[in-house]
Amino acid sequence: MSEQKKVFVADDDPTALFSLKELLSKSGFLVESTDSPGEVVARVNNFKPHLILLDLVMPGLDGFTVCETLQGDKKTRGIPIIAISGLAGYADMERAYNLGVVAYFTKPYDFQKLLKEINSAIAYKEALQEERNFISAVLDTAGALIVVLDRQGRIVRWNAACELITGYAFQEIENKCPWDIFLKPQEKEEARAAFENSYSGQFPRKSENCWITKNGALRTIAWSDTALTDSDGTIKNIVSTGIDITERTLAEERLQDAYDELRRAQIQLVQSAKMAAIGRIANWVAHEIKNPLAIIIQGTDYLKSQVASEPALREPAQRITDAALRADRIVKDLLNFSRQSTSSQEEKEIPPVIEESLSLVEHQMSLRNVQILREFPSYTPKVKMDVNQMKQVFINILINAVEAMPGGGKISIVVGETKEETGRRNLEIVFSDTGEGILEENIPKVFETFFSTKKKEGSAGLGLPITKEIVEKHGGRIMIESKTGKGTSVRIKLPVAEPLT
Amino acid sequence: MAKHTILIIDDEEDFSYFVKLNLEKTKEFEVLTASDPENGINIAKTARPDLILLDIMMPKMGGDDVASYLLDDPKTKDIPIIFLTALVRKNEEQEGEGEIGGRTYISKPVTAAELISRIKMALIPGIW
Repeated sequence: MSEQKKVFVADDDPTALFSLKELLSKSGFLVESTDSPGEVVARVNNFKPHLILLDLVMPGLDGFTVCETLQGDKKTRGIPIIAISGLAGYADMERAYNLGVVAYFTKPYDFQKLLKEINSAIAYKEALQEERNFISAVLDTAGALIVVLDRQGRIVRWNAACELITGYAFQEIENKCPWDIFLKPQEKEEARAAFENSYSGQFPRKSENCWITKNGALRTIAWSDTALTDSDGTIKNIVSTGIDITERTLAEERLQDAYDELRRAQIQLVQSAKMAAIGRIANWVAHEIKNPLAIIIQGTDYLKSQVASEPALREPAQRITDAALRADRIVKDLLNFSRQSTSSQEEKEIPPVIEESLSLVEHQMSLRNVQILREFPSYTPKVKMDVNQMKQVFINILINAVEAMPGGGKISIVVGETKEETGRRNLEIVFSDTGEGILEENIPKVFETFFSTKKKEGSAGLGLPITKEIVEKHGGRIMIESKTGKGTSVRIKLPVAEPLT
Repeated sequence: MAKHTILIIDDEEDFSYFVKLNLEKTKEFEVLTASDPENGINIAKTARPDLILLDIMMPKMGGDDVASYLLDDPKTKDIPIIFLTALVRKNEEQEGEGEIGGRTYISKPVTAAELISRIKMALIPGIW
C-alpha cells in the first residue's frame, strides 16, 4: 500500500476550492488549501505536497509570480504544478508552460481529466525521483570522482567519492565553482579560463590538477571531461570524471628517484672503474715510457756534448731531446689525470688565484704577444676550493686560449657574482679569447677524454677533461661557447662559500 | 781536486750507461754501475762511493729495500742517496722541489745538466 499522496490547492474562489477539496479527498488525497495567494509559498514549504493545483488568476499576488517563486526555490522546485485558470489565452498558457507548469486546465474543466493528470504527474515525478535515486546510487558506488558542472562552471551534482576524498558535504560546495574551493590561488584564474574556453574544445578532454581537501591535504587527480548536450546540441553540463592518482604519482616519483639514483650510482661506478683502469694503465705507461725517455735524453745530452762544435749534428740531437721531453709531458698529464690527489680545501677569493695562474703562463703569453684584460670587482665573495687544483683549471684554460691565438690577441677575464633562481649564489669567471675558435662539431667533444686538435703539439686531450672534473668536484659548472674565427669563451660557475650578510 | 765516486743502481743498463758517460765527461766524477740491487749493495760496501743514485722500481728488490739495507749497515749508512723515479707527477715536482717524504729524488727523465747540478748540490758538505 503506497503512502497517501498530498495535494495543495490554491484558488481564490471559495466555492471552487471547497468542491475541489471534496473531490480530491474522496479520490484518496490528503489535501491542504488556501484562498490567499500570499500564503502559497509558505504553506507549500510546510506541507511538502506531491503536487500543487494553482489558480493563476488570484487577487493580490499574481499566480505566475507564485509559480516563479516555487520554481526558483530549491526545496519546492521539484513539485509538479498544474495550473487552473479562467484565462484560456494561448499566451497565458505558453507563459505557464515556460514557468514549468506540467498541465494547464481552463475553467470549467472535467474533474476526471484533472484527476488523471494529477495521478500521472505524481507518478511521473516519482518515476523521475526513482531514476534519480538509482543514478545517484550508481554514481555513489563508483570509486571515481564524478562532478557535474553547469554552464557557469558551478557544481550541480557530485558523487559520494567526492565527499570522501575532499571531506566536503555536497551542501557546502553546491553551486560553487570547483576552482574557487579546491585549487591553489595561483591556479584559479587559469582553471577558470580553461573552463570558459572548453566549450569550443573537443570532448572528452583530459587534464590533471591538484585538489586541496577540507583538511588541507593535496590530492592529485586525473580528470576526463565529457559534455552533456541538449537535444539541439548545445552543451548543458560538463561531467568530469576524476581518478585520485596521488599515491600513483608519489609511487612514480619514488620510482623515478630510485631509478635516477641507480643511474647516477651506475655512472659513478663505471666512471670510477674507468678511472681505476686509467690509473693502472697510466702508472704502467709512465714507468715503461719514462725509462726509455730517460735513456734517450741522457743519450742525446751526451751526443750533444760530443758534437758541441758541429751545429749540423747538434740540431738533430736537440730535436730528439725536445721530442722526448714532449712525450714526458704527455705522460705527466696522464698521471695527473688518473691520480686522485689529496685535496686541501680553503676559502679564498678568486682574483688572486687567477693572478698566480697568470704569472705561471706569463712567459708564454708575452712570447705570443697575448694581452690580458682584467675585469675584477673590488670585492668578490670567497669560494671554497683547492687552490692548486683551481690554478690548474685556470692555467689549462689560459694555455688553451694562448694556443688558439698563434698570431697574438687578447684574453679578457671577467669575474662577477650571479644569483640563480634557486637562490644559489655563484662566482662566475669568464675567459674570452680572440682566437681561432672551435669548430661547431667539436664543441660537444672538448670535454671528452683524449679528444684533442693539438695531438701534434703534444696534447694528450686531457686538459679540459681534468678542468671539468676539478670544477665539478668543487660543485661548479663549466660551459664553452665558441665561434670559428671570432674566439672562445669559457664560463665557470663556482658556488659562493660565505653566507649572505 | 779528487774525483767523486758515484754509484748508480738501476736495472735500466742503458740509462746507467749514458749517465756514466755524461758524469765522467765532466772529469769530476768516477761512476760505478750496478743493474742488480744485490750487486749494487756489495759494490756500495766495498767501494764506499760518495753518493748513490738509486732507482726505486726494480725487479727482485725495490729501491726502498736497498736503501734500508744500506742504512742498516755502518759501512754504508752515511752515504747520501738520491732516488730515481719514473712515477712523479708535475704537481709533486713543483710542490716538493725534489723531496717526497723527506727523501731526495730525481724524476726520470732528467737532463744531464740537471742531474749533474743535483748531484753537486747533494755533495756539498752539510746539506745531506
